[in-house]
Amino acid sequence: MIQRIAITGMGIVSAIGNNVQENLLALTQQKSGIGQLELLETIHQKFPCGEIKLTNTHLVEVLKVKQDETFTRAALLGVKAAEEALQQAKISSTTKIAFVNGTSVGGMDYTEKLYQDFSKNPHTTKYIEAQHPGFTSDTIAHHLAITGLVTTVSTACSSGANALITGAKLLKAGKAETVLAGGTDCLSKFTLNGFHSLKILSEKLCQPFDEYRSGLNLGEGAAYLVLETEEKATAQNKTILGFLDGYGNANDAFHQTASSATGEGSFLAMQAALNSAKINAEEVSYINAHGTATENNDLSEGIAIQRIFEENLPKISSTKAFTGHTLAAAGAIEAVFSLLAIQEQKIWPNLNFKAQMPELSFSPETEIVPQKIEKVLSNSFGFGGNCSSLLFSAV
Amino acid sequence: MIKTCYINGISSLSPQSTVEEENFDFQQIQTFEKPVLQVAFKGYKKLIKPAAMRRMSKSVKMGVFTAASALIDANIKEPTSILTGTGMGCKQDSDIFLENLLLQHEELLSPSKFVQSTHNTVGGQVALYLKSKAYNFTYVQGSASFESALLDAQLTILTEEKKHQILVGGIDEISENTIGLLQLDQQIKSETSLENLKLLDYKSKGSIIGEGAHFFVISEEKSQNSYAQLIDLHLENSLATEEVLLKTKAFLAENKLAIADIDLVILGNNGDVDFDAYFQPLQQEFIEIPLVYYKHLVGESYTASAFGMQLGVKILKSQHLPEAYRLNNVQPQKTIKKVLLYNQFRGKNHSWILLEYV
Repeated sequence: MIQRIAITGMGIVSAIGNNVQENLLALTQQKSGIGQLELLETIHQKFPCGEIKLTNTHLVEVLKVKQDETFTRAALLGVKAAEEALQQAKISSTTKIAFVNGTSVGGMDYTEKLYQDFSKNPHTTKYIEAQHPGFTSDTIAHHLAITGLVTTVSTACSSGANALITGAKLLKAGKAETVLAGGTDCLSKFTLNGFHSLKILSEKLCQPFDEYRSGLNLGEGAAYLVLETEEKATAQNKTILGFLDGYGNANDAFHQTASSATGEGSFLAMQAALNSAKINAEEVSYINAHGTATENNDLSEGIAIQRIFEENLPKISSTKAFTGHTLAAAGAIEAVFSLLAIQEQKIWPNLNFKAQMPELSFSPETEIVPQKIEKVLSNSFGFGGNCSSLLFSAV
Repeated sequence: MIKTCYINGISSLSPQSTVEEENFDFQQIQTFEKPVLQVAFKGYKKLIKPAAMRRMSKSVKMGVFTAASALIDANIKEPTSILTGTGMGCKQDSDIFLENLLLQHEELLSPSKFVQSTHNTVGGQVALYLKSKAYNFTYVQGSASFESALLDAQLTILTEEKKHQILVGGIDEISENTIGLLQLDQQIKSETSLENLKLLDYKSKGSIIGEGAHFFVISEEKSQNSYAQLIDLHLENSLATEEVLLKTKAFLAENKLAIADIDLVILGNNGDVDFDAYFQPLQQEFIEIPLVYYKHLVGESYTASAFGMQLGVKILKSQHLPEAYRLNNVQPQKTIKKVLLYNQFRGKNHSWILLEYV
């Protein structure tokens, strides 16, 4: 017996807000969070980023982190979003929940700060282990008193979406009763310089799906969903925010970092998500696209979308121009935006768009469009050819 | 929802591999006199073209090679999923990019090391090598990284109504650049001369470090080549030493088994005087059956336990208990049918795996 996966809680922190309400307000007011860097120390100040303007010191205070706990910024952001999700789902005891985290660089922010000085400052050696992503998940789990199943998916920019897939599978297989799943990543010099070395950062505000797009803006953030079986959520009289009815993951198997011209991986991931939800393409009301605003991604994704939907294209937008590309958190952040689209029955606008790409037959939505939304497809793609697609349904 | 997971193909590269031969030999034991145990294997060109190999870091080479040879072992061409677990990912490339970034003050960086630095590089490169568009996940969860990938293999078989040939592996490499940091963090023992075979005698902090790649092909269908059956596995993020036995019994009970049903236990002792206490309760409880360990031979790494699973699978198939791996002197009284593995690292990311004879 295959169970439907219900979402009973969500939490988020991003450049457009420190909780779900603030994020919703910014989406509704079409207010981007991308701008000048203020906290990250880097020479690359010319690149606008979706930076969360909360210092680590401030986060430590509001989250009541104990002195001896070793927190990376990704863990601080993660705890903030996770606590909101658990609260909404009315989870009072965390002992029985499973935690599936998604993160790409984990504690790299501390590693790059301390790497050359570990030997000089003995009190910093506890951060040596912080370089691996599991450390950040362990820290979040410890703070939330989750002691059982804790795991981390790290598939670059699809990590957050993939964590939700693993969470759904744990419930379907009866291996967990409640799952907290999502992703977290913070801005770091490592990723900023990495994307800069690939020449895919834009000095302007990013323009997803625009003919004159010039690259992505990086962002940071965290988002988590509480997943439970429909049966359990109903039995406990919980408010169900939506269902995760389908998911798909496929590999483009084309290049370590670039997407294929035919968008094969994204095509297969979307197709698998529709198949696993047992729905036809025309039932999808909205696609929250990966849409990073790089030359390569938007073309490849756009072509894959056209291949799947042909003449029946649903409304499409990328919300990257609000938050920046938040890497491993992106899939989870956009899962929250997809659920908010269902809740508000509105399509979120694709900011900064001006000119349609000549290779594509569609333009993304640029204004808030009120519309009946039953099913949303959310795409996340990452390095290593990793392509994922999630299908959310209204209650 | 009773479905079985058969292990139908394996391949392993470890410090016990020789320069020519990948899979470890029960008789021929490699010994080391330093706390850093590297993989000496050089025979990658048996399966990887030299042109492709030039761009590959050690973990990519080890991963692609063992993934490909596990498929050959299972006589499978196309996997339905590619699942990898790694504690540190492509550590060497990641360290080099970071060091260049710091030394060059963020200027004039080449992207080549950055693009190889994501944790799913091996999974992506295996897909490229096999031209496989299949489901492709990478897990990074300390010493439960490989077990997380193995759990996904089990979940995939349990939740999808189709036939599977799942490629699942654990990969970690030693990065020369950060050996010093691991010494500073007391993950590596500080003794200047150290014989790996006496790892448990030193009673000091830390362990010896290793590297390797270990792949398995898992299916719900038994094959002529089946090595063993994966009955179940279980993960716990953190627990106290006093809870180990309770959790072990609970895991066995979930599978309708008791302590007396187990014929062999494989433990992850690594000689760290601060944490080997986690293995004590099981060493004491399973006093009447043979106990086996392996980190003295392959070193500690976040995916060393994937070597442990290979060892268990090979013991089940061969019914041979290699002398160098034995932790006690008990001889098996009957056919070894059920094997239990338990591992943890620094009190975190505990895992149990149950294997059965087929």
